[in-house]
Amino acid sequence: MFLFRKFMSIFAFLMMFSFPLFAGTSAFADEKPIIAYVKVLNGACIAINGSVERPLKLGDPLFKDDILKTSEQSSMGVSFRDNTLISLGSNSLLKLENFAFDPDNNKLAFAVEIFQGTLLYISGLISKLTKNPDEDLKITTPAGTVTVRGTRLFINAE
Amino acid sequence: MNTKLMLKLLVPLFLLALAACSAPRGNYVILLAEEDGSVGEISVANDLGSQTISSVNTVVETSENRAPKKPRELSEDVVAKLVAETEEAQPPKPLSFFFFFGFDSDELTSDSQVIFDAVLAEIKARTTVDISLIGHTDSTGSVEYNRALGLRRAGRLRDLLVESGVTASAIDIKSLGEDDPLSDGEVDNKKAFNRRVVMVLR
Repeated sequence: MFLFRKFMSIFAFLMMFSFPLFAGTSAFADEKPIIAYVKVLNGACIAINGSVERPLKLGDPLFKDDILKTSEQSSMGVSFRDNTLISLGSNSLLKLENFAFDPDNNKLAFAVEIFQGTLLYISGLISKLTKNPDEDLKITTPAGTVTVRGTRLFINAE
Repeated sequence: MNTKLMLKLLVPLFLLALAACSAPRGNYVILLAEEDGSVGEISVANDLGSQTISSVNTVVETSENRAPKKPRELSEDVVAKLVAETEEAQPPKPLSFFFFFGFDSDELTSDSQVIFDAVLAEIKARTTVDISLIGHTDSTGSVEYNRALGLRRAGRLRDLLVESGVTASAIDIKSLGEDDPLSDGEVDNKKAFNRRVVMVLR
């Protein structure tokens, strides 16, 4: 009986902690919708979001504001939820600035910023559906802004 | 005397030719052809100017604190070499599948049930899976009703996938309602093409 009561108190104690923890993770999931997935990965690549660094694996989800970083002799390929495909060569640094794919409410946005390295971009549905490509579709580079009207392109940034 | 004059003329010509086939340096953007051979259009702009290009393998170079340079065409070999490493990491092209539904219904047609089983095998064979489901309707009924019906159809297909073991968080559902018909025919049996969910498997 004593053991049972002790067990119950431990259980209650654990519940107290697990509840806020559970609420915390679901709040994080609400705030951070998945915008893309890692589809190809060679060598060492990481995602940096605020002060958190995540080593990336095949199939990992990516979020708005993630900064993707590839090391020496590393590269990665990413697919977005609107079928936009991008890949990064070695020693590249790219921020996922903005992404919205909600045709129901006419919310479409794709914005990335490349700080260094190489980027291959293949447009997806956002570029087909948008009525304001100059506003909804932006690739920022150190030397200027690239606006895209449905295409495939390669960028080198230094 | 003659050779000197020749050199004076040839050296600049030679340098010009060299520049035309040399690889770009620094910050640059190259417009490439898509898989089907079509070529889009891009603009490169900063505070000092802008350039627009719409022909394949054309490059715009931009030096720091300068306007984007006049575009020039690169040879296919040069472009292939520059993009090789990055192109190798390009994700596979997404696959699309169509699932059809009965009139005003969120039940799959029997044909589509067979397709579902085949697509499920393809999904299970992949190492990484994320899926978009976009619901569509025919034009019978109000726009709002059809948006909701499209979403119900996509939701039904998602439930079937989840029941079959696909992770719910890897599936994204949307509805375009009657906005994107496959067939604009007024004939009833053609309208059936519009009662569908498009699955994109990435």
